[in-house]
Amino acid sequence: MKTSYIIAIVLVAALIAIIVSMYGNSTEYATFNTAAQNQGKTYHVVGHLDRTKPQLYNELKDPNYFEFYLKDSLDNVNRVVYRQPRPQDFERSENVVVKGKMNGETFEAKEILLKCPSKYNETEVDVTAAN
Amino acid sequence: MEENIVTYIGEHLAIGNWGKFAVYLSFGAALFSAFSYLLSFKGGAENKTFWRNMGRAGFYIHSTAVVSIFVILFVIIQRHYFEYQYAWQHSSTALPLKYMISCFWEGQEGSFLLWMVWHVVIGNILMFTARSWESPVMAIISIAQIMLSTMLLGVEFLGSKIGSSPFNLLRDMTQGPIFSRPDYLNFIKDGNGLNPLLQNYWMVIHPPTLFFGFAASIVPFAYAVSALWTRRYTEWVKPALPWALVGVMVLGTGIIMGGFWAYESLTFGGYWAWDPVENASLIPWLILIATVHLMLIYKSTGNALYSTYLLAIFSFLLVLYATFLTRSGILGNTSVHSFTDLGMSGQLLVFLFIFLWLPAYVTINNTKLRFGYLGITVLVFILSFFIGKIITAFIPQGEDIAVVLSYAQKAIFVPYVLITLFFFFRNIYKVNPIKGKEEDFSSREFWMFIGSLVFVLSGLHVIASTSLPVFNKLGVPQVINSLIGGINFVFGTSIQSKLEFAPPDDVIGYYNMWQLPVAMILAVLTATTQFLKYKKTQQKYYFNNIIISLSISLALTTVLLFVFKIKADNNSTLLLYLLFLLCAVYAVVGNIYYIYKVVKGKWEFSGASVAHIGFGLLLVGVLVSSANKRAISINYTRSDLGENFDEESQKEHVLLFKNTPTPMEGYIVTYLGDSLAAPDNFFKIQFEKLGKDSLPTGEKFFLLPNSQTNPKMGLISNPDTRHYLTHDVFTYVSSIPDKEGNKDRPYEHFHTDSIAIHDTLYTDNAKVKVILDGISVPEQPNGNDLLVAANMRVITLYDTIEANPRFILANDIRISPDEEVAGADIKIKFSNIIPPDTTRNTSAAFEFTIAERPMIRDYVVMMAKVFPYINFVWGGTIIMVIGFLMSIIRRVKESRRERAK
Repeated sequence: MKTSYIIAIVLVAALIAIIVSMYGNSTEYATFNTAAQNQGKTYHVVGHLDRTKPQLYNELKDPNYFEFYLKDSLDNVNRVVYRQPRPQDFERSENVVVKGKMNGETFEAKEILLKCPSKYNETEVDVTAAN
Repeated sequence: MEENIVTYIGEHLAIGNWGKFAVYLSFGAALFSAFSYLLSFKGGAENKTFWRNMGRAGFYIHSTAVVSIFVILFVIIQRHYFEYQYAWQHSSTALPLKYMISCFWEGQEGSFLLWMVWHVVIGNILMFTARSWESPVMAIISIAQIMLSTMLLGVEFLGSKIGSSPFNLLRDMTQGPIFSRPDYLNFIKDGNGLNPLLQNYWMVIHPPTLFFGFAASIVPFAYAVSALWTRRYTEWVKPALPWALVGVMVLGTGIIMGGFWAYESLTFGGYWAWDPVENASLIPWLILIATVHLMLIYKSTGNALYSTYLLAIFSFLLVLYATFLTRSGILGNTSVHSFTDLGMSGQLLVFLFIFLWLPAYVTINNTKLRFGYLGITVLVFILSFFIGKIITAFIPQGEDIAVVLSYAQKAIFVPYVLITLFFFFRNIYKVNPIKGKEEDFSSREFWMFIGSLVFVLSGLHVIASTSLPVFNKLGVPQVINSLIGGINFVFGTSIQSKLEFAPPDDVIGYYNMWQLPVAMILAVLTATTQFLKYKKTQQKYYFNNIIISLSISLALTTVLLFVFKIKADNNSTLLLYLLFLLCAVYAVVGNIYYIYKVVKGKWEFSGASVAHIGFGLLLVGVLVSSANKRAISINYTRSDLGENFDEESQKEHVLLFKNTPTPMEGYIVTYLGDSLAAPDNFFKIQFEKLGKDSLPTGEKFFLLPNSQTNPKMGLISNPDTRHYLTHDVFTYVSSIPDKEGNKDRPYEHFHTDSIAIHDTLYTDNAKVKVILDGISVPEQPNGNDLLVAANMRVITLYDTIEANPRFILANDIRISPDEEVAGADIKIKFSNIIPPDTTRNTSAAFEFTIAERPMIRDYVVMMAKVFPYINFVWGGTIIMVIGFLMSIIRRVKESRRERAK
């Protein structure tokens, strides 16, 4: 057998392995409902902060505990617990992506990704300082 | 329209018009240059020199225009002309000059401009050095410049906006009643400001370096396509090799600078997180490295030309793809720092496609076929502009236009892209010279080829995994879901399908699972392959060398085990780490031995080995710093120790009260207080090193992580790192008390005392003392009323503040207004005057009520991490770069020598 065939076969096998591992390892963007039906499975939930509900971060009690409420794309509001300090500029975020799993009624977030579209792309001129 | 007659005051419109003119000129000149260069190698024989000179002239004009755009934009930023949106959005009056250059890469337009500037630099070098390759190579670079300058045009064309001009006026880009005032500029005193994270030394040099690497990768591409175009299939590799090496060197430097910036100024605690934006710059680098190795194989043996073509072309196409990924906003939900869409993603795709199309088109030999393909291309482009209008005109009412449109677009584009890809791969394959016999297993080129393939596979894995959002956009999950549905139906399985792909649960673990073995294979190959010769090697020759280097490596690894004390969660991971360490050490030892034994220390031939040594050291650093990195700020005072108790990573932040020493693995850590140096607030944290007996050694250092309370972005934390030769201590502040919130707390601890002049009052916690210096009677308001003021000094730990509480007697009613001393968080009430009693020989006394706001003890929440042996990462990279530099010098000398013959 020619060596180039062996190389080609190994290459194809590696490519298939990459695709399978990629598919197998990828998680899914989902809503709180889906996550609740599949307890313990990791999901990404895209939503925005529910400002009507209280946030809890008391560093004097536990600096590694932050709790807030997130409204997902279907407008379902769920409690999210993040066992880290409250992320910087959390208040200003417009979109929040949480990665984690549902544990009973609570979404245990492992990572939080904040999207602040207004951060440096403001389309309104702020003239309050000038007046 | 009323707005039209407003004459605005104070604007500097001329400079922007010059800027816009320079953009149009750069576009036109690039067009002219590309066209002229094209004619100079495709046209009639007698005109060739004329058209080449025209091409040069065009590129000179283009170069001048591009430099002018750069200078004009810089002047606008530097002079704070906030009537221009770019200056307003990305700079502010307080911005130091050294960071003004960073404004260029905060915005998309500036980034494209920077890229153009580097292409101009490279183009001007090539005009003088490329000789017989000048015309086709410069034609291709000019085409790239046409595409890039369209990104800055900012004009409407057939209803679509092309590019985004950096010279747009703020009043044209934003809405606001303020713009109806002629003097609106008086109200825009300051710009939005540059992102504080970009106000960092490394952020001044990292982006230009990265962009130069990107820009340099066009040269191997241009040479490869020129070779296909001019049918000089084999000569291009030699002149392109030094450029490919330059690309590898500079891009690699740029990537690691980004890593160093992340490590020094971001809080994720590390230099690499497999973030899509990082990956996007890594992908072209991996492919470019493979290209360099294939070029070397071809130069020495004449084999692997087809693969060399493909990789040289793809390394530039992947630069364009990386640009598309980071600039189109498609990574939105997966990356921390992607750019938002400026509506240029379509243009970027066209850019990418044209450079895939070009090699496919120029390699068609049959004239009829070529014109047919060109015709189809033009048709597809025209259709893509008008498809929306055609569909709206023809489909019946009630149908879903968006669905029909998406199907129509797929029907047009999918077959067309497939045809292009077919031409691309088939035509380039056809130019490949007929292969001789297979490479020998004992030949250097065979294993170099395997190494290049491993690089390509590694790149493919990163590309595929980073492209998840692209797959979502293309509807790949739906295709896979129907496949899974079919499988489930046929086999009765119940495999779950995914609606929209998201990144893996453990991103870093997922990438490492693939990339660690890849790195191990590469490390072994770098050392082993060096001992082989091109064509065929005598067994005795390489066997001895390999055995000797391997034995040294084994011995050295055993020693290093005790030095590094590598830890792992379980034995199989530990075994993997040990194997990894052995491979990395072998790469270093083998290549050192090669320089010593085979090249005999000859500087000129050691470039590759030096680069390989650097690579091996880098791997040692990657392993030891990530396997043994650990948070030392472990918090044991948790509110709930119930679920998730075992997850180490989730208690890494610790609360430090001011002046309260807290033990942390090997250190006593104390927060000593903060100091404000606007806009930064520095937190002084003292680390006292403990000895083996857990007693202080007397050695101590201070770290000053800071935070910026930015009005636009909230709290921004910057880490501080103490660098040692063998390890780093990294720390940042994650939360601080809200000092503003202190104002609203109620006063407590009221108590009343009578004191004489020169006496002292204390608050309950004795932190503040108040001294009564005297009593003054100011001018009396009314005959019967009395006004007395006390002259007091309030002494806090930091400050002495004057206070004058008053006592008023109006119509026999006593009034004692509260005197609040904000700086000391107390209030004083002058409540009574007790006259002197001569019978008991007492002097006059004065009664005060004092109350305080209970002090919240100052604190910080911080995290501290130890990175052992991270200097191997930086040192290895530097050595690798030196190796590349040595190789570049060798290859340039080589081609000069040949030319001189």
